[in-house]
Amino acid sequence: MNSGDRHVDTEPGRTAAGPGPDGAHRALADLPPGARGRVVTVTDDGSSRTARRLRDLGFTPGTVVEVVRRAPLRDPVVFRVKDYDLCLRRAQAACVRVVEVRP
Amino acid sequence: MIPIHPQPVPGHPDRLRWIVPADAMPYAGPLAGLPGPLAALLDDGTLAGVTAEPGAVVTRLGAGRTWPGAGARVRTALHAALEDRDGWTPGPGADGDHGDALLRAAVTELLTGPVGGVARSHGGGIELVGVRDGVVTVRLHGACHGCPAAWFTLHQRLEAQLRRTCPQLREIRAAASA
Amino acid sequence: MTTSCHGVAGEGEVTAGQPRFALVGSPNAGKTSVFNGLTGLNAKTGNYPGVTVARFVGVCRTGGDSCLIEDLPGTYSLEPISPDERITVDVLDGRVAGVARPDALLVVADATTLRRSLPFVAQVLARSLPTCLVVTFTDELARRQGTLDVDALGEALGVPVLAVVGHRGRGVARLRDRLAEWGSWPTPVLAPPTDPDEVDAWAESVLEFAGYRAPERHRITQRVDAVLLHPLWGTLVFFAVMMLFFQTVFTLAAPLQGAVETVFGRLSELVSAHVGNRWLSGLLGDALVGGVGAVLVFVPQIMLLFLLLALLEGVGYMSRAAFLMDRVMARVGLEGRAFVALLSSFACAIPGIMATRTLPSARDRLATMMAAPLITCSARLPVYVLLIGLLVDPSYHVGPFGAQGLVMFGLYVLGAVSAMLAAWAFKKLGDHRGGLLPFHMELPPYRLPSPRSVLVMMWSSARAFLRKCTTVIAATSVLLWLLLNLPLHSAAELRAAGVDTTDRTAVSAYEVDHSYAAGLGRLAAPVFSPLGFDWRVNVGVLSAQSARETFVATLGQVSAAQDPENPARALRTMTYPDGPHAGERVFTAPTIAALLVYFAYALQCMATVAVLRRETGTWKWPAIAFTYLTGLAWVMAYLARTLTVWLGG
Repeated sequence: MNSGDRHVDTEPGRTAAGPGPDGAHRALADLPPGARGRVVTVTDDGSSRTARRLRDLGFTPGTVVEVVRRAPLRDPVVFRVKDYDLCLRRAQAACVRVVEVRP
Repeated sequence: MIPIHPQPVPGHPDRLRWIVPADAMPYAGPLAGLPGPLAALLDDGTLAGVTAEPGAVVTRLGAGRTWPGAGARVRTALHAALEDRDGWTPGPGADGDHGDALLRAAVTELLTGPVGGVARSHGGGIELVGVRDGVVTVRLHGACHGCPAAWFTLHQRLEAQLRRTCPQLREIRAAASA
Repeated sequence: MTTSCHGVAGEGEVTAGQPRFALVGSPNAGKTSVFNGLTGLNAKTGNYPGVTVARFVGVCRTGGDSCLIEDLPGTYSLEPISPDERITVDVLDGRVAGVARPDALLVVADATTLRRSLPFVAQVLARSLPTCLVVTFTDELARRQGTLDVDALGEALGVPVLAVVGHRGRGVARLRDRLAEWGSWPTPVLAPPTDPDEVDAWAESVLEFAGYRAPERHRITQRVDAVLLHPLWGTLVFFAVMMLFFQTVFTLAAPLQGAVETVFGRLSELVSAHVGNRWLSGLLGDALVGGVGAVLVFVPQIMLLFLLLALLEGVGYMSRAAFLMDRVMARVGLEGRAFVALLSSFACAIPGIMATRTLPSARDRLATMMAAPLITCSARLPVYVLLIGLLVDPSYHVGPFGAQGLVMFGLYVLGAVSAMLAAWAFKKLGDHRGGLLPFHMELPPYRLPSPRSVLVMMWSSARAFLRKCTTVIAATSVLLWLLLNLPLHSAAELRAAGVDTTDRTAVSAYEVDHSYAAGLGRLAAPVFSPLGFDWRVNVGVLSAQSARETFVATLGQVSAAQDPENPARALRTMTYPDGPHAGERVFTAPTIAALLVYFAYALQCMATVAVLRRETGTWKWPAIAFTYLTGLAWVMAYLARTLTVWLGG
């Protein structure tokens, strides 16, 4: 094993530089169940609390988020972030901008 | 951003050992040149010295400074400095031999400790033959000698543990048996 | 001082030198089980001054000494985004009047979600108070192939770290020992960073040093959720669970209730057989045993409901139910967790109101509390059963359904719909200063709760109910009995009024008719006569003001029926003794309809009022709830009466 290449890029907690080569930012709320996205930024929905709380909950830049499932009426949505399941309404999930990560 | 966190150095309250990923700090020992942000802290007296260790950077506080007062600036400077890999220049004592000495110490500790324990529990043993230029040579004896499975597991364990602390490790070799 | 009435530390427990610890951590981190483990079950609940946030303080024995543990509200951050979260920060900073600043902190973090929790730990460590990290669910971490070196974590953080498996009680003894030596806890040389990127880098480095490997995903949870949260199957299971819930109310508990009834029946017989004095025998047998017994009959049912709720909560289904119902609750401006609170209110409004503690928004909490008393609680059941029995012939059927059952179902729907509308109105009217909070809810993995934790949860809900039975209802029963039997009438007086003193029933009727209670009932006549209530019903309604269930026993006493527990027969034939309606039957369809609707709306429960007072910390909200519910009850009852008269033609 080569000692030079041991950065584990899928590890959460690292800062992503920006949108990946394969696309621009999307809202996390637009990803279908099963898809994964790497958080690029968390925007405001009019009050700074939402962005702050989403960061507290683990949506920090570089973190990979998986869309687990939607409720029967499509809202809210369960996400897997930083090793736990969290449910958010789509309105809040729209504040999280991600680039989709192919598995 | 490269993951780092500080730990106290027992007996030296003026020092902090910043644990860094093994590959982020390629040198060990005193340093001749530092990246700009850290150098600036040495210049303004915030820090009195910076040395490198395997998997860590040790910073020594300047006279009259405290960690609660200056620590945050040191941290930010270190973050910036670690991003600038070319900014670090090894000092006179930080040559390969020094690296080997640290590596030897680390191997010895592992062989008397957890990794050696595994070999002993199987009725065998593992012994350090030598360290040169980042190449570690060990010898298996007892039940482990000649057993490919034993070599495989011991090699794996030793390498995994050493890599965490000793970035200068290049290879682990098995010596011909005595 | 206003805060003295929130005093939660027991007298004689607080000594000057007693250290105070505050427990902080995110919701679901296992904070409560650590708290229970340290303090036993003798925690005292109160309220923080000025906000509707419950406060828990307990005493923990550490060797020969003791210390105070304060369980702060769960929070994900020390940068508060709501007035509630502000409380946690204000307590840590010693800015809450009457609440001393803690001497040291215990941060509780779930080992399975350490990656998320460490930034919070960083914020706590930045307060520079002596701090100990308590890592919970380490057993689950190991089961799911995760690893964590607790000692290395302590080394990296620079503070003591202990693993505690709260619900199994493992590690609690060591934590106790650690608390005793809080003065010598190590502190970090340098506090963790505050810049978000630097915090992430710090957390990553600390976890790496501690050999942390996050747990595998919990396979059982994944598989179970695939069914329980499935658009079709999940919805079906949800309705099945609700069915089970109501089956418990109506069928499962019936034999147990029969048993309690029998016991109290025997007890009543024993009293009348062995207590010679007519007065004492009446007071003991009718008032105490009869009154309290009539309510204790519901204990098996309530206990079963609480057990079921505790099980569903402990296993983790409640957050799934909240997830499934969130969209529905959003229609009235609430969120999924409010559904859980309203569901509990079907058992009793008290645990329902207490369950609103899980709602992060104060506005949501108040709206839910104001709505909870409208949900058909089990205390309304005996009243409904009695009145529906008078109203509808049991043999009457609509299709395959008995008409009695349909009326009962209609009342449940009426309660639920009214509750939702009330919640919507209160949310609309609510204080807008706080602004809207982003909705978020953790879905913890399914866990098999330990029997102890389920029983503790069940007991904490049941305690309030039992207290209500033994205090409020017992007192009301005795008071009512006295009001009905006083003043005393001499034999001469009875003869002068033309009563045959040898006819026990006639004497009873005369005594009741001339009692203080009758005076009270007649006094209330102007208020209730538009609803068709006569003074005897008024006495029932007034006595039910303390607890709804007493209505049944009161009417029994009032109508001097043979069996005070089943006065239906006597009531059906009850007529107005005097006044403009003399000779007419009291319980006509319009009157019964008005009574049913009155009971559906009115806040006739002292215990609920007390809990509202405790949970909101002021008399303002119980006063608002009482006024609006009683007013609404009268108006709706009047409408129901008018409608029934109109329909009856």
